[in-house]
Amino acid sequence: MQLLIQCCVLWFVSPEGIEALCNDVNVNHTDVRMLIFAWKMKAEKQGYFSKDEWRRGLKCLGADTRPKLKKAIEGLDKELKVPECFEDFYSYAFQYCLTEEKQRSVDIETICELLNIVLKSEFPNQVNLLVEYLKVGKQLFKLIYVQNDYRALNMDQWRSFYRFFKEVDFHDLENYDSSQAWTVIIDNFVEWLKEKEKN
Amino acid sequence: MVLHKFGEKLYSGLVATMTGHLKEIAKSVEAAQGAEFYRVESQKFIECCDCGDYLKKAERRLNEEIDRVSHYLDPRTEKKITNVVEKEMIENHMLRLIHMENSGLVHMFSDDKYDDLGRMYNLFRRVPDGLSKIREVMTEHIKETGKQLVNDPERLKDPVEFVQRLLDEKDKYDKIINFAFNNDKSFQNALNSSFEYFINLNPRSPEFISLFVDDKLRKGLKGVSEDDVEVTLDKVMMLFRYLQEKDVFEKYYKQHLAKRLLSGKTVSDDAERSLIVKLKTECGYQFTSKLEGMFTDMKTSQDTMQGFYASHPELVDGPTLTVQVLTTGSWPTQSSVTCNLPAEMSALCEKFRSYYLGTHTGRRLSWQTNMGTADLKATFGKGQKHELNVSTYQMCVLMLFNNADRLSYKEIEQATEIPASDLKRCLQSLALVKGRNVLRKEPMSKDVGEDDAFFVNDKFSSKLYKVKIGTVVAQKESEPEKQETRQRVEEDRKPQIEAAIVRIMKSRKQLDHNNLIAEVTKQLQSRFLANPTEVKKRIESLIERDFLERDENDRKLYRDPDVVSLKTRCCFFIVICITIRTNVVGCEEVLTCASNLQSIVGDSNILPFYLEQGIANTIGCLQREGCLLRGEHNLLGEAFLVMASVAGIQQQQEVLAWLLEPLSQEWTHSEWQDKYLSEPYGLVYLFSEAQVMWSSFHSVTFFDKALNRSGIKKANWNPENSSTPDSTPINPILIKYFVLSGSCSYFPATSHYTLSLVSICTSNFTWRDPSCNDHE
Repeated sequence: MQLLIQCCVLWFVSPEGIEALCNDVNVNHTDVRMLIFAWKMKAEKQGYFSKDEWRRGLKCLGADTRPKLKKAIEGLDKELKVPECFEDFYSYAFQYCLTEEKQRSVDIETICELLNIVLKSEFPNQVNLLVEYLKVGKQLFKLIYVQNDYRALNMDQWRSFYRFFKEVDFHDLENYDSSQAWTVIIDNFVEWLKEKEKN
Repeated sequence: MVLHKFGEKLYSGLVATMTGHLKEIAKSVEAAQGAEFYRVESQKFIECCDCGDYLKKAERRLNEEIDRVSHYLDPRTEKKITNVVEKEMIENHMLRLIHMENSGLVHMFSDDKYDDLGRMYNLFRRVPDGLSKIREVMTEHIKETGKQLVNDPERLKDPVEFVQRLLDEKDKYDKIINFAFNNDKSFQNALNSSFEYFINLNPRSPEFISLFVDDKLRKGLKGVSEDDVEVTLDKVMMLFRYLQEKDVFEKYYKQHLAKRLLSGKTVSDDAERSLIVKLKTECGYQFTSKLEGMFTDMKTSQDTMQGFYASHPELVDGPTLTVQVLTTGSWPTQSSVTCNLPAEMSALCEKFRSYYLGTHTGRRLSWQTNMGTADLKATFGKGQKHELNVSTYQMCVLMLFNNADRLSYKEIEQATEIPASDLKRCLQSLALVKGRNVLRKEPMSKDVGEDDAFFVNDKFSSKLYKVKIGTVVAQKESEPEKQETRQRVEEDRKPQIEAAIVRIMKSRKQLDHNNLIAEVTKQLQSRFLANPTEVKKRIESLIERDFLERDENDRKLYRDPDVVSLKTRCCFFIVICITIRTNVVGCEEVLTCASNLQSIVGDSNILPFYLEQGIANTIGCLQREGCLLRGEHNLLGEAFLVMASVAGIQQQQEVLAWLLEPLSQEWTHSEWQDKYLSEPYGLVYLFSEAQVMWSSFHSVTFFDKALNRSGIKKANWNPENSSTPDSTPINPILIKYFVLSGSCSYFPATSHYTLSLVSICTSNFTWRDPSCNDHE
């Protein structure tokens, strides 16, 4: 542990530090495993790890030497196999993107990237469709819902995506009930999917 | 020999039994024959009679049978026999009769055949499902004709005619149900639900009903007796009850009422008031508080004008100014418009402005030049004199011609600064309308163009001395106006939905999605039909702002988060009150402020609007309705005081004044005073009644904080130094407040404290209250 901490120049591992770390363990900083690592650490601020967070992360991974850390990070994606863990991680991923103090929502671009990072492996098809909808539908809905153009989404909406993918079969959209407690954006997404299928 | 002895008995017994049997057989044969007989007969009749005739025949047969039974059959058989007739003649042919071409039920309705309908009702009620069949057909028929009526473009051209047709239809069916259907409740209900169905098919129904009322109140009810006026208004109320979008009606009604009041064109003040009372009874105080505010403003303005001329006697010889001061929020929102008044008028208006602001500090006045009228005395080229009744815009244009013979469109535009579309309309009405063309236009084209030039029409003539040119009559809205109104209505609904959601979640603590939607819809039903998708959007918006949270495990369950502090919730309600009641500030901006009290305090520009009387009424009314807890009420007041403290000492005093208003009403009551404050031991009684005690405690604590915040030192308070002349009710209250605050700080008061309290009170404070007869 001592060895690794000495590796960090600052107590706050900064973006440069993280980049160095990524190079060391040979994992891209946009890789989902870095995000999982941040989650393990319960890192609060994007791009920075505090000393406590760093310690926590290393302890979780059981790594006290550089090679051990590299190995641990490489294997991090297996951590998400447990559904409860995944839900927690999934919410965390959104939280991590909130950079400003009173920020409640994240812009569409980042959402799309995040979806790709976090959900693509499990739901490749669905993620592609949703991303397409968010990017294209944004234009369309500006016309119809004057008040509701989706420039940014909040935590509640983010959470509903994962639940939706888990619970609803895309081939069986006829049974989807929009009077249920799904978020309005999901209702609109389903409408768009149905239209798409017709054409 | 045995036979002989018992012979009689046996014989008579046998006879009795045989007779009995025979009767039974006779009955059955009769019945069987009857059935067959009636089956055949009914078949014969139905082929050759129309519905009305058939029914007559059926009725006759029925009556015959009943007669027969009463004459020579066992009365117990009546039911059996009539059943046969009913079954064969009526039940088996019900549908065929109802739907008979050219004479069936629908035709009876159309032709008001009361007799036939009555007969059908009486006959059909004897058979199972008979009446429900009639009801079904009636409902369908009314819905169909109603649907055609509301979708017919011809009918929709004249709103007043349209509504009259609706009333006529209702009258027609009321009569039918009364004369023919025995006032049957189930038919009344069917009628009501049918009307409700088709009236709401046309989204313009609320607007048209309001226009109908406008027409009646403007001229339709002229010279009509009071009773007949009531009858008409009651009929209107009945249509109003069918409306689902009552808030749309409210919006239009407000607009139309404003025009009527401002142009002085209402036929009867009593009729107006009567309708408002009816609306209040139907929909509650909320609905009509703003409308009543409009009447109050008119009255107050009269008084203000009197005061103005009384204090400026030198102005009596000049042009007469009549100003109506409208409280923003009670009147329909108007955007402020530019308009340069002629010099004579603007000087006069400035004098009024300073007079008014001199007596009402902390208010802002803005002239609504698009709503006024003017009377001008004009002399034309050949000496013709006329008095012209024009709109303010038209006055501005015409006055320019006092100093110029010819004016181009551009010159007029520059001089008056009236917006282009309004100016064009104004010039059209002055130059292009026959009989009212006080101006002449070159070139003589139909429309007003930007290169046109205008002259006074020296050849103007009219048979009347007084010529009316301005028009401020309520009309059916144009398409873009309609869209705008609709949008505003939708915007106004958002805070109402949110308030309903928060209120429900506050009392239920947790609720699942479908039930929440159902509750919200029910709560809002008296105003409008809530769209489930819109409610969903509001729920999500509230989740985002932490007024609501979704359960972790069951995403269909919502929870009221305890985390939302009372203060935040309070801000939310202030904002909702303000948005709903004043419609002044844009809903979105104000709602985003709700999550942060700082933001509201910082924006002291909004403050002057909020200090109008309407807000105090709103808070009071919400409390009366039980929507505000005492804690919230206090926090609302506190929030206002905080805002006021930012705005200035005068605003603070004003806020304090109206916060004290409800309290002063309670505490100035002589009974209250006699009971608790006329002698030192009165305080003992005060503390022994828990409810009064708590209530006073809360009030006093609140004002304690309020006064501390405002920096007014208790000990130095001198009632004679109070600045505003009309604040006399405050003084005695504040004095008594101090007494109570001193005592209440020893809370909880048990009996052995009370004596010590009393002695403290009487020693610390002296009663320096000249306006009150109380004594130490």
